Amino acid sequence: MNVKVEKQFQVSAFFTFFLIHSSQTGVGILNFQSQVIKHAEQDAWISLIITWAATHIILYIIFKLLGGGTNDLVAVHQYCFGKAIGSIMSVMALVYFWLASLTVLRAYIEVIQIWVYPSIKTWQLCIVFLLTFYYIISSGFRSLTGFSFWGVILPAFLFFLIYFPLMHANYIYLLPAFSHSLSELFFSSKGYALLFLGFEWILMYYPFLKSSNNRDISKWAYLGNIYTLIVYLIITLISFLYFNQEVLQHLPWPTLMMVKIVKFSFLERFEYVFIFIWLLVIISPICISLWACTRIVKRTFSIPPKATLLFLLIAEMIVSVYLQEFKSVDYLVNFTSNVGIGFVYVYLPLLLIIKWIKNHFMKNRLNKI
Amino acid sequence: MTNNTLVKMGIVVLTLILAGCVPHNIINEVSLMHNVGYDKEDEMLKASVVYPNYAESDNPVLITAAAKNPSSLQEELSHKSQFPFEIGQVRVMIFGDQLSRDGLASILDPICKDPKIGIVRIVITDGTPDLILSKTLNESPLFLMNLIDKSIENEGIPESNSHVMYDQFFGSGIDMSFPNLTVDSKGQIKVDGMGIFKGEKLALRISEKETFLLKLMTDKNKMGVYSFDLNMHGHKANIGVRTNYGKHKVKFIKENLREQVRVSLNLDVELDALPEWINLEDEKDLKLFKTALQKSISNDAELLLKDFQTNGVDPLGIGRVYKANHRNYSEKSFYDRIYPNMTYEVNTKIAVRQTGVGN
Repeated sequence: MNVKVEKQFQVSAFFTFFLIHSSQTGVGILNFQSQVIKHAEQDAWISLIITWAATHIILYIIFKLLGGGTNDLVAVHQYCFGKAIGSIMSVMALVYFWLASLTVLRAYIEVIQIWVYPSIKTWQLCIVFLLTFYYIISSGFRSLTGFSFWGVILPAFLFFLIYFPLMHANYIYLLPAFSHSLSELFFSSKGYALLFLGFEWILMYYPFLKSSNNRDISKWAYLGNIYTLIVYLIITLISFLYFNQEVLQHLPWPTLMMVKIVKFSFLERFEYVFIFIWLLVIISPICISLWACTRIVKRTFSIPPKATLLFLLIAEMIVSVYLQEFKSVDYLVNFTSNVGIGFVYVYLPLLLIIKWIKNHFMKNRLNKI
Repeated sequence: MTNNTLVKMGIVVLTLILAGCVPHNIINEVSLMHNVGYDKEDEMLKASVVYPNYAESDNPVLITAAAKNPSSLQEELSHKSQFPFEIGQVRVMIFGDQLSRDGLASILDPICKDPKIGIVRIVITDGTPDLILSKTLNESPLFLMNLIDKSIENEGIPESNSHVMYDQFFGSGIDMSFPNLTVDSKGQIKVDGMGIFKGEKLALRISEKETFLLKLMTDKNKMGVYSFDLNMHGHKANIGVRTNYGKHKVKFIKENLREQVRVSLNLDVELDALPEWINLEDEKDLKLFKTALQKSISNDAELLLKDFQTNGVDPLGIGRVYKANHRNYSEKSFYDRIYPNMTYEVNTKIAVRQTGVGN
């Protein structure tokens, strides 16, 4: 059942780090604070660590799924459910992957419309972005990896910006610490789950990672996840130290509001620069998920990826233009995050159990023969 | 050229052309305002701006407009000028006396929501903003911002910008306070004390000296001059000391079932003008001087805190400190029951850093 990918299309295991991290970071970073403080308030950073731990376990589950003869999601589905039902399950996964990329795209367009160009039309931005994405995705997985590499390295300098809000930080906003119950912490960690989603696309690009053994890839994947944790932890703590909880409830875009304090003598308003640098960050989650979609179609129905890609991009554009009100964008984000949480944190463990059961029966049958 | 290259080139060209769809603002065709004043007059909101008029002449003019809601206000202003107003460059917002007394929430809310507005200085005035703005017509457009920046940096005015405003406006356990601008008898603009708000309404004005004491107890930056009456060796004099650095700490102590707020101030001061009858080389004189100064600051600060207490305002954020140490905090019960019954104790510790170069 293993898929073989030619060596010239593969990337080395080291890039798993960038692929995992860059597919996790999307538009969520700009406004996650109001979601996560709903229950755990100033203790929400503990919830972040809970979510990270859960994600780490899921990554472990994913590597278990991908071992032992089935090295991508389509193969796992076919192994567990047979050809027909397996294909249906793969298409369901495709729908979720497509939704994820649509959400990032639409949310980013909304950020641009709110912050920079209030009068720009959605379709105009859509055409510009989708043409770029078509160009990137159609050049194959290796160039996608290149984009995710630079999408992590280049925006890394934005970290120096934390100096500015830190000057105004007040540790009192984190007090009283540890004053929330476990259930409140768990509810908040659900808010963080959206930020961690995206790593599951490794289910599709796993055969494209070149390595001598499984452990090499998993090591880099875990490290990528830890780097994501560190990034989120820094942003969470800085925004909690800079704003008090009530302000975070009232300001919908705390990360961008925080960037407002950054001021250089040659550049008064850094948030505009920040928003456009963020394009580098969102390219990877949108493109990797769309690439994963085309890969699913290719593996199940043997349709050429470029045709699928064109179809998916046009569908994305139509839906983006159709979602006009801010409420519907909110709804889309919530819907996708719920579907994603269901897929990653519920379905994947179930799938592993099914695979184990199947393994057990197969072994028994072999023994009988 | 292959078909594939043509497609790629087409994509690049289209992307470049589509970039032209982006709306543009040309600097000569918008009017950038640097100072905005808001006030209330006969139930109408009133805004006044200095319209710089760069393009035609160098004579800025004062434009005012009135409307019933903040969104129409900006449009009303634009109706009176040749170019659309661009609010993104505003550096100073001034709230008039009438508006401050009636409540700022209706104006502050849209300010918080407008992504175009950056970190701006927010001040109030005891007259109308028109008066302040009309005095700045002959100055450079950034005159007001520089005036306030400098006062905050080293002249005893606490930090006050839109970030601090969000913090105090939305935050529980603290009340808003803004520096106060006034026009003195000679017609010059002056930063004079502060206005303390209760909720969204102006409740109390404090003097310059009290403002500096407030700064000592709230801000990291403690630059400013404190003047006090010294009574020593049978001589009397008024002496000003400049504080350069310092630390403050607000603590709660439970004493006989009553909450006591203990504020400790550690200040590094610089003395330059001293009367002849004090000789700081002398250990005894130095000690006497320091105790007198410490006592004076502590007394004044305690009086100020009691003044806040009787007026029911909390610009210091005492509620916030209480919240950080008590898990079952509720804003209402704290200000109804605990705050009015608190006692205060301010402990000041002075380190005399330098006395200038002469002796």
